[in-house]
Amino acid sequence: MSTKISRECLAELLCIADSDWVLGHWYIKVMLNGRSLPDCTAFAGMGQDSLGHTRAIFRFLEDQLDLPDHQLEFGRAPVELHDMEVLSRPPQNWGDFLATAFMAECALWRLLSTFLDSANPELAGMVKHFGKELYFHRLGLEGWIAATDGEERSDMRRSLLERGPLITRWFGSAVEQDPLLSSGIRTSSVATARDAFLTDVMDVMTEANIMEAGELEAALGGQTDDDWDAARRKSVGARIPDTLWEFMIPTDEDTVALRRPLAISVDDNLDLVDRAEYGHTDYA
Amino acid sequence: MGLVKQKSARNTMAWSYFEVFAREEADGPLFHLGCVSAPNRASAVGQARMVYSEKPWLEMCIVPRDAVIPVIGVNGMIGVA
Repeated sequence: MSTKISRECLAELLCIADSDWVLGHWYIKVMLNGRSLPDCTAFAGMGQDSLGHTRAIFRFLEDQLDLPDHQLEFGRAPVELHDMEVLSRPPQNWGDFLATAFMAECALWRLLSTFLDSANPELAGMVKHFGKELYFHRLGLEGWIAATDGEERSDMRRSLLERGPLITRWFGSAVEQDPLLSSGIRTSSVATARDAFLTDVMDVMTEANIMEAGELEAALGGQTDDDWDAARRKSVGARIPDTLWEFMIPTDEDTVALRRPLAISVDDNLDLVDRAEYGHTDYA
Repeated sequence: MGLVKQKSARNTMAWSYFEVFAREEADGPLFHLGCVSAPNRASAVGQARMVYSEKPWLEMCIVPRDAVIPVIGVNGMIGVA
């Protein structure tokens, strides 16, 4: 088995990283819609995790494939992104946000988890670490879903019907041969991940009485069309909206002027753990 | 985003409080970090992990405030009938 990261793996991991990149910005934008201070703080934490995972995957790929540093974050045009298409449309209300974010989190984790026992130990370790954090994203969203009221539940049902099939479609149709699976980079199939995603969504949404199991199962069965771009897991030619892209990588003159040189910002140690100047936060 | 009328107010004052504890080292004490208020247990667990993520904790747990048995209280004289 080869542990080398291939171009197919680059595309697959970009589908996850780019989608998490967009989802992280959803959390940042929605942060102030939290209903309490811990809600807002939780969104900040989720955004931080998502953007951190994105950058970790970018750096892993750049390292493994000898790509120039920061090319994946700052060197690509919007048309080159592998982001989840359904996240291009902003959340329409609280219910829509909860349902979409929960489904996207489940889908991202289930596709990531196919690499849990990867023959590439660095990738396997990274995925394991992400898994520990992403569990709490899903749990937090699950709690908010359970706490919704009548109007929000109607919004969630609408969101499941409209966006659910698009997120299921993200897994694509069953492929005859997956080079990542045969090379051991991935150890479980995308079809398995898709089934697990459907189970995750069905379990939480039926437990919270958002939709009946049969109705939801029928709604989620997304099929790919002829214009499906399997490498980017989105429709051919689909691209991230300009306003969303500008939010992710601002290009206005003032922001660019304020942005620190990459060499400095990347080498900054933002981890506050065990730094003398933050000793006053120790609980001991 | 949706219209303002679609954002319904929620009575967060009715939410339950959960006290958050964490352990930094295997042989170290379980510290009280603070608390979160949440509509249910799942939400409280998610929030505790997100809010108190400043250290790579070895262990973290939450306790519903209602489950805490007072020994010495700030409100009233426990044990005095």
